[in-house]
Amino acid sequence: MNLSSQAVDDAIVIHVHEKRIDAAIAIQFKDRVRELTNDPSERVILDMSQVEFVDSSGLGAIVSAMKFLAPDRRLELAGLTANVGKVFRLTRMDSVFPIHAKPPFQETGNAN
Amino acid sequence: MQTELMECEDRRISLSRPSDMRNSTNFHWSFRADLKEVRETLRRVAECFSHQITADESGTLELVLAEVMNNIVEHGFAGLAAGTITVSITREPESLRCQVIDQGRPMPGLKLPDCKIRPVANCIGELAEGGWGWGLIGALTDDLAYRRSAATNYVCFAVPVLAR
Repeated sequence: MNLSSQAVDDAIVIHVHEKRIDAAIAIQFKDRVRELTNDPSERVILDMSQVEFVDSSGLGAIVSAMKFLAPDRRLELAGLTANVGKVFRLTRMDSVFPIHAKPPFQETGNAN
Repeated sequence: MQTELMECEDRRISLSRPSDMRNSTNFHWSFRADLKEVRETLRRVAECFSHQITADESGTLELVLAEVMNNIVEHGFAGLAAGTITVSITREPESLRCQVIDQGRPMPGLKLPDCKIRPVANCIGELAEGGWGWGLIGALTDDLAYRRSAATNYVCFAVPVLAR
């Protein structure tokens, strides 16, 4: 499960370096997002621009992470690829998450 | 099909070799019911049809097959020794006709679950963390059907694609 985090202004940006968030890795994904959001921040933005596939288990893991951060912090999504955007639209989860076209900063390679 | 599954036992077998499938219009594959094997099977399906369908259609096919096959692994074979899943896909002029077969538990009530996507809860604390699978399958396929026969589950559906 390859995720990295980066502080950008008032947000933690979590970059997902995986092509898939699916049933095979949904639980690890959820746990890893929890670890990476231990530090306080006003916002948490999930950079999904490298993710080409999300199934219902992956979507469940993202919703679970959002519920874990609530009510103090909102999970926002950025850079949904076409296939992933379709899953959010069909399940109407696009009405639940703030969704940005792009993450606030493109990755610099110095993220940890 | 029964004979093939019996011969298959617990080993993954290739009923038609992947190298032969690249330019073919059909896909047939049996594999161990396991989430990692589902991933590998989806990769093979995508490879098989990549030159015949659009990226959007390929994404839809992958999602629908993932939902059907993950359900079999997580529910159909829950608590049972790992079994075999067989997926067959036939290219028709305006669809990909899919059949997924397994010998896990029957669907509750011997019928498909509700295939509607449920409304979204009003507050974050009450949001569901799953349960979209059959709603997605229902929304993205035609002719969705299930039957149980001779201790075997058959799920059939068609994914619409642009005519060739």
